[in-house]
Amino acid sequence: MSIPDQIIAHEDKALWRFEPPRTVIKRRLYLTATARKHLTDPNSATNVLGLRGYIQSALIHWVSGGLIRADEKGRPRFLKRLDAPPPEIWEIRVTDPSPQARLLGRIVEQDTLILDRFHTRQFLGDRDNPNSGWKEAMSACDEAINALFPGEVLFQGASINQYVKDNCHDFAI
Amino acid sequence: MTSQSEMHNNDNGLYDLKGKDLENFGFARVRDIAYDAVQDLWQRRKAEGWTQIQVAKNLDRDTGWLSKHLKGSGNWTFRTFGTLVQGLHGTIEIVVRAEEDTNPNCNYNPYSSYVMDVQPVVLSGAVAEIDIFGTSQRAPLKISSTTASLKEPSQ
Repeated sequence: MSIPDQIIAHEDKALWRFEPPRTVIKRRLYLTATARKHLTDPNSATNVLGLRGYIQSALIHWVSGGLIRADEKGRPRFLKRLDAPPPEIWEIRVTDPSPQARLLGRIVEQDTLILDRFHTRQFLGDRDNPNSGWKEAMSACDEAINALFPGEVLFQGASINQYVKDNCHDFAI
Repeated sequence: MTSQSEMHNNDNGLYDLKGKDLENFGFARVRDIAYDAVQDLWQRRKAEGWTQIQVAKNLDRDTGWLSKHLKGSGNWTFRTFGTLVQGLHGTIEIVVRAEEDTNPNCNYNPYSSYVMDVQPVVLSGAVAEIDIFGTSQRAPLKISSTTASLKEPSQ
């Protein structure tokens, strides 16, 4: 079964399409049950800290085809593939509010992002510390998304343009 | 008839924002859009051979200030936005539309290959036992996704 077929089979059961009304949609976004809860539950860590509006803006930035930017040194500012292991976990960086947030997920086809969980940057901690929240969060994200596509070798690209078709700076991943 | 888009937008909690969340969302969106627009122009100017040093000099700013604001819009004000646009020899047009005037219908729908393929379903050979006005009848049953029809059994 193709990736779209598998997503369709999960839709409104394990995956929820993010398609805000009155928005021209240019990229696909699905939320897992965990991400949906993190987005909508008033008691989720990110919502308690008042990050909902900023996160919503970041999600709309993705689906509406907003610029996937890198800085002058080629470092990704909005969408970034995290260092393995596990492989192919991506983050949307919500960097302007304080505290910052990170939205973790995977790109399963070009322009198709599945987000699985939202965390504050504080929770994730120091990236170089093996006991930080990063490892646990990335592993949980990896397991959750792999469980949606059992036995499937999920998409891996060699350059950012294989993951994002349009309006994307050319940066190393 | 409910469209695919409406069906998927019935999930209220995903899109409803109120109070401070709505305010933060509005602020983040406008800042994002402004930043994207400035980045577009900066990329074009870079391709034309402009450097940050030249732009900073034209604005009588140091390159650190320019570099910081081109890197992210976190500390932008309207003044920063206007200064950057002028420094890059740009012009600004701002359009604010009523929500109801926004037309999300465009030729490209990225979800078009992500919808259930609705094919008519025909059950051949099925027989339904139907009680019509107290008289039990047996009839072959043909079902499609949108219609169901009954035919008289052949004698």
